Amino acid sequence: MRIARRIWREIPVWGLVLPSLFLFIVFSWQPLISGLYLSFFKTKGYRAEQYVGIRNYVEVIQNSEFQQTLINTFSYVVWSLTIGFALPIVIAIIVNELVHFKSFFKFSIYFPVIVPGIAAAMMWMFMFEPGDGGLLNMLFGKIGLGPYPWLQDPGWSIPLIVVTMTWKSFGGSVILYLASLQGVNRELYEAAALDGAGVAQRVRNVTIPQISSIIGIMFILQIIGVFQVMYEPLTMTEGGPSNSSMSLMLQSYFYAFRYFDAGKSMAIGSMTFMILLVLTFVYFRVNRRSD
Amino acid sequence: MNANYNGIIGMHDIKLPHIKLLYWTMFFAMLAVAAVCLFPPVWLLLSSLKDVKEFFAIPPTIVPRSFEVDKIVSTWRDYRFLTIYGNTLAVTGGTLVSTILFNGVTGFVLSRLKPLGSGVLMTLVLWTMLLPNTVGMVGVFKNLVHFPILGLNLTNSFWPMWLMAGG
Repeated sequence: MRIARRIWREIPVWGLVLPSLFLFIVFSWQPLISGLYLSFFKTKGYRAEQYVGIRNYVEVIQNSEFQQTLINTFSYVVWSLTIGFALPIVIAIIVNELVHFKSFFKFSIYFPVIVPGIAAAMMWMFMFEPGDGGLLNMLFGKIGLGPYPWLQDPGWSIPLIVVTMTWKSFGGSVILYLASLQGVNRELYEAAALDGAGVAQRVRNVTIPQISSIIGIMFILQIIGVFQVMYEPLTMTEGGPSNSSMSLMLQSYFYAFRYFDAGKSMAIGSMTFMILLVLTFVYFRVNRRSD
Repeated sequence: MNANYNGIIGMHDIKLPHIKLLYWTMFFAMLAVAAVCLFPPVWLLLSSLKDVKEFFAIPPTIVPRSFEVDKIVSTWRDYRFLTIYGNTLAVTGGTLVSTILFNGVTGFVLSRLKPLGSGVLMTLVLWTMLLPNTVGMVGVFKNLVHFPILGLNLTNSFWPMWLMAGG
């Protein structure tokens, strides 16, 4: 009886949430479900034509470039973690320490975040122009280093795209880490200094453990985010010389908006979703076990 | 400047010579980082003032030798930037209102009032955030053309972006 009365009392509260819920269902939840549903159909334009079971999935996997695309996407994640995971942490710690010009540094670090994504990608594409016309080649030329092919080189296309992505987004991460660093108790540092810890030891034993929870969250968010990269490869290399910078989501985009095969597009999307689901699950499992 | 070192490097540390070296090395490293951050967009802005020939010159220059404001003016007029800015402002404003209105209320409800079943909703929202949304792109388009229940056609208006912010 109590439960029924509680439900009755709670109805107006749910009413408050109802518009949001409706929008959420319409714009997030239902497209996801219908996307999954569509992936099992042969589609013409955007309408389902004929049930084909997992044929879309099979055709996508059997595509000769799929294996390379899969490897590429993981490669993006690995490069992104190598280049761009420790960097914001290091910079945040440094900026937190500095006393002179702190605001100027905070501003200049956040500046790339303000630049619109596609504009930043195009700007870097310009800078990476091979031959003597590119800006970077010109700057390097002044020190005497030869012109580089940059993005034309299949081996370098992914790392360079990751550099662009890092440039754009490390500012946001730095600000997050800075906020978290401010919350570290000053007395811990003094205690460590009294105990005779040098600067490096203080960083290792006080700073890092204190912000370890946000480091963990940023780690999984970065993996999930970079896994779905699409805008940078699209603008800068369109899949790269000989397919060297194609990512899963970019392939999905091509299927949907270039080949107009929505079924295959959804198939790739669903597979990406599954992989991410597994990765997230594994991550939370590992996290829980270490607690 | 009254320097107040109170982080990992404390007031006592900074007096040591090797700590001083470390500090100023970090400072100049940050200057380099700041330069890398600021240089590309600034270069872009400067380039927009150059005339066409110098823009494509090989090797490219940094400080513009030519100064043509006409280029900016004509681009502004050709692409009707005022309209674009106006549109962007409208989208931003509507999104702001939509976000505060819908998400703010939802956040309040989920965290404070905690009605029955809010845990379910919370988890649902969380998982949708974590996972890819390109799967939903086509579906969203279909929904926009044929809005459920109300059956309106929402293309050619600002409403899709405003409403998506609420979702």
